[in-house]
Amino acid sequence: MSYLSLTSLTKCYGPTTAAEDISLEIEKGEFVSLLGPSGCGKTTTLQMIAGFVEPTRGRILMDGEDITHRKPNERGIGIVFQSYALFPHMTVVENVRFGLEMRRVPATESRQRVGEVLELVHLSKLQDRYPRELSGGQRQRVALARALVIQPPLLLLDEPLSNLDAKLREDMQIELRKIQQQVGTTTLMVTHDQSEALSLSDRVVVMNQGRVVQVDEPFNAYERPSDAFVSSFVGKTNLLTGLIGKKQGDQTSIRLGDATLELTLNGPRTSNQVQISIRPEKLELTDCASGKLKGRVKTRLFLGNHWLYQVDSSAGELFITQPNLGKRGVAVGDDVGVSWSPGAIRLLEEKVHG
Amino acid sequence: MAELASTLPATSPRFFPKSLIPWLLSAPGAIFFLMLLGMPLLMTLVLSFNSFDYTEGIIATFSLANYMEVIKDDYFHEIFFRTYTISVAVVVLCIAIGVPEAYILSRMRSPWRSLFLVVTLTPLLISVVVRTLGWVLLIGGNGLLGKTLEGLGIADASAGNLMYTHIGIILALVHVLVPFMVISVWAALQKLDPSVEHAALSLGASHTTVFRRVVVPQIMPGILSGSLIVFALAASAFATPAILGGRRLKVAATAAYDEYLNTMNWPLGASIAVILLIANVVVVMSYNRMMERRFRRTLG
Repeated sequence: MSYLSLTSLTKCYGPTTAAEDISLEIEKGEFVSLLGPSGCGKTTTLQMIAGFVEPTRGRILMDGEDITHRKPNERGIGIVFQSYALFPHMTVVENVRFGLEMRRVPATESRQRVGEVLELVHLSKLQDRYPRELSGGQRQRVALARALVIQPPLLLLDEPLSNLDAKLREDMQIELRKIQQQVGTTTLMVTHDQSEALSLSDRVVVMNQGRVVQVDEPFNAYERPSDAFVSSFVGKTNLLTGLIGKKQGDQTSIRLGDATLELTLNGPRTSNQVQISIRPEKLELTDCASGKLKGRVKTRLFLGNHWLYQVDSSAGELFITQPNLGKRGVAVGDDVGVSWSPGAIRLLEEKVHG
Repeated sequence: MAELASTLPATSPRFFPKSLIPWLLSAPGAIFFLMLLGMPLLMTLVLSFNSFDYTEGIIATFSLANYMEVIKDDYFHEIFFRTYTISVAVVVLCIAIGVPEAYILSRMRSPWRSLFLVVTLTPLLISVVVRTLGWVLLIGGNGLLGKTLEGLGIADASAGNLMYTHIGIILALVHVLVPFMVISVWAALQKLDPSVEHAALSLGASHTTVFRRVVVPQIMPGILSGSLIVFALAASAFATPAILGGRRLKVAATAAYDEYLNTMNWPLGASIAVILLIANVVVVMSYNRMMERRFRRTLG
């Protein structure tokens, strides 16, 4: 029996459906991310678990108890809000202590727990400051401490790092993962940032248009996306269209520009076209003669640790990244070949329309 | 302004030195303001130092006799004490009614919210005299309140007569001044992040605790500035106390009016007006100072 279980959770606002038939099982101690573009229903789902939004249909079970219609202040869930939502008129200590006061925790125990959690987020020195006297990263940590001090059965993170600048966000990602593993709280995070979801979570739930599209480990979600949406939303990809040709044994020949591939088809096909996904970092630039596809470099961007090329090829436009190994590489306008290793190509399953 | 001036070509002849330009640009407004507010105030101040004789009228002297009279006389003590008792009571009631009212308004859904906000502001749209005469119909000697009390057998009709009582004046002033409190608290509520309330709920606080511990402290500046407006308006109110309190229950503003128009003792009336003004300014400024000191660190 999983710790948190959502059963066909649905929320409708009049005729529009914000979240549809969300079913999800989360184990105790797991870190799960809801990942999707804005308006995909991930925040609505979080709000339903928190109790701020009443589900139209479906059930929420936490630790075997039905909490679907329980009031938010009786769920005991720790929440870190996108805006941090600190109490501006209280100091750091007062903010963190608030949840313990509501639980009538005795003063000595309360002081000890607040001290410990402030230690955990490295804020002991700033405990008498007011929120507006803190930086974004510090406010973020106060919000985390305030949610953790009540030792919640479940921690909800709503876009926790989106208001931080890039460098700080990376530091906080590492910090957040460390704290979560240290405390062991079951955590559900909502984010639109795929790298954040991939780096922090045990499992990623990719959502689109109110529905769950794929639930998988970060590595699998990236390497084996279930459809075109996942492959382009989780990381960058090149989506190409191939023509299905002759079948020999379990191998089918597929024409992709001026190349012919021998692949095993996954799932039934109704048309003679197939969608192919290749990640930019799995393509290689070779010289004109030895590549599988021929092309010409259209643009080249230097991004520090790697180069990003845009190549016009016979199969369409391709994005290719190459690690910066200290050489200048090919220039704009050069004729190049594009190659890849056999495992790099992924055939996307045909969308069942209906 | 200086930037505006500096964009002129350097060769163009300059009629005024650069430092004069800001003064000249703000002159029309300043002159208008001084003529219409400054001059009458100044003349009132000068008048308050003059003396008065029943046969000769106003005599252009300079003495503090009028002020001494107001400060020493128990009759005026009572009037000023009454003025500020009424004002404080009005402020307290406006807070008690206006703060929950603004909070409820801000929690309403889209069509109702703007509708009820307008309803809240309607007392301000009605002429003060008409509105106060309306109160006379309700709480007068033979008014609706008395008739109702009598009809229900609760009390005599005379118990519903609140004319010439503190309660009557306070009731009518609260009615017209509550909108100022609502607007001021409303503005403070708009600045609140709704997720802060959600955060408090998620930490286990009940709705009343959220209101008391999280919402009220954050809208305190709004409550305080609302109290300032209400206090200043209540302390200097004229029409409502004049109609509902009459000669029997004078406040500072009606006392000054009576000195001017009944006794014709303009200098004494002027000194009452000046004392009322100074007292109001002192109260308002010290209140403001206190507020700033208290909220500079937390709410900016």
